[in-house]
Formats: sequence, structure tokens, C-alpha cells
Amino acid sequence: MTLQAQFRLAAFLTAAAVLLVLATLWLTSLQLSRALAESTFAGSLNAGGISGLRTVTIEYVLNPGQRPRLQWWQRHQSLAAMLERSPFDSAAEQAQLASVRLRHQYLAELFPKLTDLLESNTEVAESQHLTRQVESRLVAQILVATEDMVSESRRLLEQNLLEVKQAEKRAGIIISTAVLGLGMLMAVGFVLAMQGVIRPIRALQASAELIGSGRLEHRTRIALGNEIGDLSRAFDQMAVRLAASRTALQARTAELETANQELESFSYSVSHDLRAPLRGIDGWSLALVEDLADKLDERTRPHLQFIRAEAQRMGQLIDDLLMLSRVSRQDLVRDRVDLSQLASVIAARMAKEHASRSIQLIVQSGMQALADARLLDIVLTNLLDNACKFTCQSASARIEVKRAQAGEGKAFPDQAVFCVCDNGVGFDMAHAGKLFGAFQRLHRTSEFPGTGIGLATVQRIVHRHGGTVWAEAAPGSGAKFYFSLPEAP
Amino acid sequence: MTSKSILLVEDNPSDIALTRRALERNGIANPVVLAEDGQQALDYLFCTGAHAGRDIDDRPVLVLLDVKLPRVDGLQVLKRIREDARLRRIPVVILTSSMEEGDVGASYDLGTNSYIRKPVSFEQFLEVVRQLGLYWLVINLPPPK
Repeated sequence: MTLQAQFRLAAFLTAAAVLLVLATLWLTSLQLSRALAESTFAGSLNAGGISGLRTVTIEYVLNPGQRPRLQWWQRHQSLAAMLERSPFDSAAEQAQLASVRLRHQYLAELFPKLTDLLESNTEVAESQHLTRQVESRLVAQILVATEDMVSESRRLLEQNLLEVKQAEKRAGIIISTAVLGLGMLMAVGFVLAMQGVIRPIRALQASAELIGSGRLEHRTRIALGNEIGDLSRAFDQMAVRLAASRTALQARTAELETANQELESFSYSVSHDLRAPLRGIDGWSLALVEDLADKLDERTRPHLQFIRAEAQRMGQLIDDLLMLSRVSRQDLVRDRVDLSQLASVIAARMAKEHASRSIQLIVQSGMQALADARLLDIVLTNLLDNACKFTCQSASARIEVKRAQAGEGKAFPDQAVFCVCDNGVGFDMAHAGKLFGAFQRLHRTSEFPGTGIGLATVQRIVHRHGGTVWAEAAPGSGAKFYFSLPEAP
Repeated sequence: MTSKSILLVEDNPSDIALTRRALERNGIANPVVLAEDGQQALDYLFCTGAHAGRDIDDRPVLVLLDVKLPRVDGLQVLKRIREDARLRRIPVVILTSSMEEGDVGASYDLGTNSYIRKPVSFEQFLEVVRQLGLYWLVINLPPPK
């Protein structure tokens, strides 16, 4: 049975039990109120009606006259009215009340005889003795009947008080039984909930923690037909799928590691084995130039020079490719880097290399970034090298390394944007997309030598730092290379 | 009396000839002993195999050692030299095409005196050999006998 059905059933049973208890209490309270009404009636019958009649009877006997007689009849009448309103329903009570009524009627017959006797004072003296005897007999009959009524009504009162007490006792028993029963019901409910819900949930939690800690072969195995069972099965299926994807991921990682190792050994081979033949080609071409000095002419000597230049260019290509591969593999060691100082050192080296040219190299001071200093050195070297190269035709070259102003270029959150700008030949922005691809060149080799790998290396390094690199230029009016790096803390 | 030889450990015939040419062109007249793999170099240094009977105290004044070699590689040769009490003081210069950081670091860890990457341009190579000869054979004070 599902938990939802169980909870619904429990709620229904609880409501039914509460309704039952309420109905019982209502019935009991009805009984109690009737018993109370009956006892109140019996009380007033006894204390007010019958006792009052007895009092006025005694008054009349002691002091016969019109006023006590009228009082007596008044009392008798009101008692008659009271007896008409009887609330009693049980047979015994009805019988008792009937006997009270009989005596009440009997009194109505006796009393006029007494009044006739006491209020006719015209009797002769001889008959006084006889009158006295009749009178006392009448009085005795009246008093006996009245006393009978008093005792009957008292019995009624006592019986009803007993009924009230019994009804109260019953109500007490019902209330305590109901409280006890409901309490037991709730306790049993809690225990069942504990067994049916909390325990499996705890087991599920423990299993989920185990699976979460990486033991994907673990299963929750809670074989319940309710929602917790469904949850457990969903968990197990999730663990199965997780294990499968982890296995796939491990296999993929292993493949990648193998591929990486192959790449390592490939670049090692490139570095070592491909350069050796080039050295031979260059060396032996030069040997030919030297050894055949007198046999070479102006037509053949350039052939050998081309062979040498091409061999050296290939050597450079290999070196640049190795650099590109290394900046991708090398571990990134991020630290606070003084970009101004780094750029100044490179700029000084450039100035020395191009001592014959007039180059104005300006490095803004106080530039900081969070970067790998060795890789950032490669970035700046490449960008400054390019700037020197592409300004070689201008009479007064001006190269600047600075932080981009707000609103200049693009902006990135938590990143500092730097710019290397020159007043060189620039390039057409239509080809800017090719700029950062390996072996992509926008100028002829005869014009500006290069392998076309430098900017690809720059882009790879900046990307590894989570930054962006882009350029702005126009033919003949210089180029601006922007790159963003994480702001120094 | 020692022969003051230079031990060249190199397997590429073109590189061997170029190195000989460069030494010659720079007027370095020391005899060059050639070992074409690591095992030959060890045989020469430890006077075993083909070199059995050679005087082990006739040590080369300089070893020019390539890293990537058949049979026993250059780093292994360097290790054996540095581990031997009789040979450990010989100046060893790694002369190779590799600029893998792993090779450079390992060479220094094993106690190389210098690590030089052979340039592609022969003119630059000539200059490297000239400076090597000048430094290790003239300027530098060799280890005592």
C-alpha cells in the first residue's frame, strides 16, 4: 500500500474515532441534562409544591379561616399544574407520580369536608364532642396523605440524583476511554510511521551518502511497495547510470592520457629527430659553398643559399610548433605578475636587437595581472616582436604597452585589459579572423618573415588564463592588440 | 702521458662529420674518439669490450654527449660517469637537438657541466663549437690527475 493511501486511511480512521467519541459524549450529555431536569423537577415538587401544601394545611388546621383556606386551594392548584408538567418517562417514575396524583385528588376530596366542619360554627354544644372526633380524623387523613406525597416526592428526588450521578460517572468513563483510546491510536500510528517511513528513509540516506562518496556499486535495496520503495529504485537506477557514465569517463580519460603521452613523444621526436636532418642540410650546403668556392658561379651559389634559408626556416617552424604545443601542456602557475617590469625587460632586449632603428618603446608603469609569468613573457615577446617587425618600414616607430582605458575595446568582469599598439603597416580588418590561427599570415614572407605561429601561441596562452585576445587595425595606420587577464588580487 | 682526447658520443653520421668539421675549422686539434652509441661510450670509458686493455686513467678531457642514442642513452652514460670515482670529474657537455625540459632537468640532476642545443644553422654551430673549445680546453682549469 502506498504511503499516501496509508496516510489517508489513518486520517479517515482518526476522524471516524473522533466522531464516534463526540456522538457518545453528545448522547451522554443529553441523558445527563434530562436527569438533571428530572431531579430539578423532583426537587421543586418536594421542596416547593408538596412541602408548601403541608405548611398551609397545618396553618389552616391551627387557624381556620377564609384566607388560609384560599391559600390552601391556591397551593393545591399550583401543585396540580406542576404535576401536569411531569418530565418523567420511566414506568417506575410514572407509577410513583401516579400515586402522588391520587393522593393529590384525595386531598381535594378531604379538604372541603374539613372546611365545612371547621367553618360552620352554628353547631349545638352537644354535638361539639362528635365534631371534634370527626375533625381530628379528617386532619389525620389529610396529614397522612400529605406526608405520603412528601415521601414519594423525596424518593423521586433521590432516585433522580442517583441517575445524575450515574450519568456523570458514565460521561467520565467515556471521556477517559476516548482520550486513552485516541492516545493509543496515535502512539500505534507513530510507531507504524517510524517503521514504515523513518527507518527506510534513514537507510536510503545512508545509502545515498555511500553512493555520493563514490561507491557507485552500492545499492539501496529497499523493497517496499510504497513511495520510498519507488525512490529507492530510482536511486539504484541513478547509481547504475552513474557507474556506467563513470566507467565511460574513466575509459575516455585513459584514452586521452594515452593520446597525451603520444603527443608528448611526438613532440619529443619532432624536437630531436626532425631538426637533425635540417642541421645536416644546412651544414653540408655551407660545406659545398665553402669547398666549391671557385667552381660556383653567380647562378648556382643562390641555389645553395635557398637550400640553407629553407632549412633554417623549417627549423624555426619546428621550434615555434614546439612552443605552441608546450604552452598548451605546461602547468599554469598563476601569481601576481608585474606586467610593466616584464614588458620593460623585453622592450630593452628589442631595443638592443634593433639598435640600428629608431624605435620609441613606451611601457606604462604599475600594470599588474594574475598570470603565469613565463607564459606571459611569451605573450609579450611575441606581441612586441610583431610590433617591431611591422613597424620596420616607418621612419619613427612608436610601440606602446599600456592598460586599456575604460570604454576602449571590450570590458570583462574581474579582468584587466592590456594593449600593445604600434604605428606600423597594420592590416585589413576583413582578415582579422585569420589572425590567431596557426600558420595564418596576412603578409608575404619576403616582406615580413615569420612562421605564423606566434599569435596562435599568444591566443592559446591568453585562453588558458581565461582571457580573450583580439586586434584592431587598419592598413597603414598601425595595429592594436588587446588581451585580457585576471585582475591581480 | 694522456692523449687529451675528446670523446664524441653521437649516432648520426652527418652530425658526426659536421662536428668534426666544426672542430677542425676552429683549429681544435685534440684527437676525437667516436662512440656511436651509449654502450660504445661506456666500453671506451670503462675499458671494456673493444677497449679492454686501455688505460682507464687516460681520461678524455671533454665528453660531448648526445641524449638520444641507440642501446644505452646519453643520460644513462652520464649517470655511470658520475657514479664512478675514477671518471666523475670528467667535464661532460650535453650536445643535443632536444630542448625538452625533462631532458634538460634530468641532465643537470645527473651532474652535466653544460647543456647545449645544437642550432640548425651551421654558422651558429661553428660558433658554439668555437666557444666550447675555447672554454673547456683553454679557459677552464681541468680536474687534477
